[in-house]
Amino acid sequence: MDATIFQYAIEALLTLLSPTHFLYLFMGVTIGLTIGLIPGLGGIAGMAIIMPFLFGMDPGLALAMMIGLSSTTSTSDTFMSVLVGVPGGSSAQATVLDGFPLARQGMAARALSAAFISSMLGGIFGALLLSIAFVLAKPVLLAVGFGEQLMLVVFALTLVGMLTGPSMAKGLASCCIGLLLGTIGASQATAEYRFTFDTIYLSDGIPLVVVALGIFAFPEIIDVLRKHARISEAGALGGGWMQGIRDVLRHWWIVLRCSFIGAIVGALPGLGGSVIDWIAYGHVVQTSKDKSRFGKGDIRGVIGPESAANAKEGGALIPTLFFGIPGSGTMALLLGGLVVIGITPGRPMVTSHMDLVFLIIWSIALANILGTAISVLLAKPISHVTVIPFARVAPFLLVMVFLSAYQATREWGDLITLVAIGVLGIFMKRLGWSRAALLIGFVLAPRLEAALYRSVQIYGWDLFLRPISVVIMVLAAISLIYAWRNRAHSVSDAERGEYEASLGTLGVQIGFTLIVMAVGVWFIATLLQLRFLAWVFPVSVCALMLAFCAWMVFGMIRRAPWPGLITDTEAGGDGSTPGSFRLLGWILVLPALSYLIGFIYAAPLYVLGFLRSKARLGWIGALSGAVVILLIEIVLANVLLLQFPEGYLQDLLPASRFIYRLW
Amino acid sequence: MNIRLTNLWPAVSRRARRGVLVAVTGFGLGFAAPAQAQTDLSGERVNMIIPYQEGSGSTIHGRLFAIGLEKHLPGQPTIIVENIDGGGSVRGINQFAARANPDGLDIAAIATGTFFQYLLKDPAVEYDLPSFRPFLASPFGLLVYASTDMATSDDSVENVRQLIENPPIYGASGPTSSDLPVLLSFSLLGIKPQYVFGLSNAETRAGFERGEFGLNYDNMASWAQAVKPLVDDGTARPLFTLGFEENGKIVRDPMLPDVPTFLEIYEAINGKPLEGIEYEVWKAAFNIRVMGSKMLVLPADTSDEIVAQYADAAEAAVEGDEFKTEAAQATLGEYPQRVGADAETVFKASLEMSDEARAWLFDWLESEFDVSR
Repeated sequence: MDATIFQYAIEALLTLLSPTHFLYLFMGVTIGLTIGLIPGLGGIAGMAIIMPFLFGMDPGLALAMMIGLSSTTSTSDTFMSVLVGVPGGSSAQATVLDGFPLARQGMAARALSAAFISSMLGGIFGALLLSIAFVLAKPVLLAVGFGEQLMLVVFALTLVGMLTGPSMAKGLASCCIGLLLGTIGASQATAEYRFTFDTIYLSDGIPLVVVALGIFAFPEIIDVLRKHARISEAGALGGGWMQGIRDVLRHWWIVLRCSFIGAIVGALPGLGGSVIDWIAYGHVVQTSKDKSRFGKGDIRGVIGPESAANAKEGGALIPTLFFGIPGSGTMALLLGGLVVIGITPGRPMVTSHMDLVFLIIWSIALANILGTAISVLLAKPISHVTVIPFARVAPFLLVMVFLSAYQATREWGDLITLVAIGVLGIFMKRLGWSRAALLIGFVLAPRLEAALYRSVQIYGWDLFLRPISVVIMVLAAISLIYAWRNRAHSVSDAERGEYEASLGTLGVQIGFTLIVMAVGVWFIATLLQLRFLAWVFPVSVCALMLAFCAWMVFGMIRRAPWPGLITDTEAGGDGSTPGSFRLLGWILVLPALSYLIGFIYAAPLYVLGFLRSKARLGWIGALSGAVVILLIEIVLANVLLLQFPEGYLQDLLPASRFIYRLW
Repeated sequence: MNIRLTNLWPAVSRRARRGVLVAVTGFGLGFAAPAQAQTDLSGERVNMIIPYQEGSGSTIHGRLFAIGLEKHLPGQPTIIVENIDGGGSVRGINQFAARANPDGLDIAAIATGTFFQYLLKDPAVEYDLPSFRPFLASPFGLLVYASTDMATSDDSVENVRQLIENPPIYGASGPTSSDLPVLLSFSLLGIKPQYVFGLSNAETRAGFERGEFGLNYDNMASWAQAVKPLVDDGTARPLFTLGFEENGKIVRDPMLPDVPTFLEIYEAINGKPLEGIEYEVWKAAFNIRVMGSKMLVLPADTSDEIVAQYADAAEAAVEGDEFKTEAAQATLGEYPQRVGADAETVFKASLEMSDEARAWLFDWLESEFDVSR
């Protein structure tokens, strides 16, 4: 038996290394890397693009291409996260926290190469796990029922304790805001709509991309613009990619642990891919002795989530291949792709398609290596973006952010929500509310509510008698205690100055908290008209949020020197830097112009205007920027078949249809 | 090894690929063109809206037909598939109804959800379903199965009695979703499961495998891949299918002739066949879920000529080589595909619901699930 497995493994490797297979794998990798670069487009979009070509294709070739694609989108999405502070994809959200500060300190190349190498190692680990999974997977997967899924979600939530920032009450309130945003849409139990304002856009909930882009991109872009700076404050690239590799080698133990976490969580039902990097990040912070650098540019904060991100692909393949149950959105598509090429995943896969199983395993490993090699080669040149004056980068970035958000559902609702969340994000960043906690709450909300409801329906109190549930519960409790014991309870001397300065805008800080409370009360009032199962979860969250906020207002009125409570990063400025909201106006010109004449025209015009008046470029430079954007749009429209927000007057400009039809 | 030329360069434009395809297939294309006046679609881009996720059953079905239609429509247009997911197909179809032109350049896939949301007068619905022009209907049977712990006998009737006696836990998407026909069938038989709503198909099947749910059902497209292994290893036992309609009569599902239909079980349990208003409602649900499971339509006001063109192309596609592959067989099952006037008949039957039947259905939803409109 062992000998045959070995034989299959060798044969599969030889097949994969044949020129045609390799070519297809390479094409998959290239598409995956390209798509991963665009925030919001991930494996799902990539699979959708290659699906039409799969019908009638040789299964081996199609597999090589699909795996090549799905294994590498979470490699290249790191570029955006590290270089410009915009989450490049759902698996690179946590990378922003430490990756972007590193870039700002002029260590973009180091952060990138550390990220790529650790994601490659993670990816290979995932492939390894997959190769032993068909012996072990079944009993493990069958043991994780809805009750255990609930406990996993609770466990993940306790990690928020690690991400709350200096003020725990603020962090938990932020998490509650995220949880509430995540309950928007149809209730799972009763299918009643919550806070949808009778719009069909909100009835399926707000897309993750829109929240992630709004909450991170807007505040960061504005922050850099405010200071008229380059992204890299050091002004130079510094710290080459060799340093990143050394970092990874030094922290090999983190790589291993986080790869394991990524692969396991990817395989288990209930949590899903978009939480994995947060869990890994929380784990790294929790297990580190010196926590002071996290969030300010600690390389461990990059290595952890990136190792987990690529390991999860191998993990997610386990239920997909062996049970026919997709472990993620990308995997659902892969499943569709497999059916299309005539392979039926499920139990027969192990017995009758052993060769294909190994082809997949080798493809993952090879795709990760290829993807990393390409990305590392690109890291240095692309990092130059951090030393260009940011005003020249910003318009392109904004065009990309709006375009990416619009791909979520291709409705104007995407852009409106993006702006709304962006404004919220600006306030949260300014006043020290944890945006990471909000995002993790948002991602977990539907899972927590669903798992809660299902477990109670299926098990009732028996839930607490299931051994695995109890074990996970105890782990969660330990993690919570740990988080509590490790935090400071009063403002340190170093933070004293900021505290004093922030007292000046106490009114704004209390006002914002009161607005959050008012929204909470209003939510409760509207929710109570629904049936019990539809309101019980969001109302409980609202109540918690109100409690945290009330506690904060109490502390603020007493001017309590609790860590992080009284914070305003814009307080005490000398008036030379423009306020956030004047710059927000600059951002809003793009959607406004798009609404009028359509994005496809608005984007080049916007870039032209921005480069001329804000970046003070000459006509030639500004015009060439506009032309570049137009060319990019044409490529996106025709190759990736992306669509652009349409404007009110667009029909008067017939050329726009022409742009879609160049091919 | 079977590598088609068209697949070697996926990044190459679709039109270039088509050129290669035309060159390769050469004369073979001629037969698809009927000798009537027709619109030439050459060089055009046809938009196909699929109101469900990428990777969904509807997408695989739609994409298969997109390939066939590209090849057999006059002028070999390029078909662009666009997934607009949301609101149980309402979002995509609303958009289709609002934006599609009756010029043969816009088509859409519709499925069970599209019908139910319309018939149950979901306030989000903005489309006038009867005005659409169907040209293809693909039927799909449904199999209901139980865990061998809950259904211990070899006899389906006996098993259903056991389930009436000991209500199982059952996971579903929601009472007004595409699960409605199966929930209705349970209710008519007197099985009163403890429902857990808000689950996808994959989640319910996983829960079933873990022994958390005692009852489940699946579309026959998943039979070979997902359900048969469970039956073979003794985890699951088939209870009944919803049956299949042939010449106006409901017969056993052609893919599972050994498994009795819902109507047979009902008669055995109650001593009389299902009739009256209850039959009328059940039959309407059956028409939608089984006979009109997946359809392709053109927008309102499309000319008969264009509809006929699409019907002919769909027929040629079904008979063409590309639909003989294993993958295509797995996508379509062994069911006969209905095109043109036959598709229209299925479509009309699916929309037929008297006010009385509708009122009964609303009452049932309210009393069983507390769903009110």
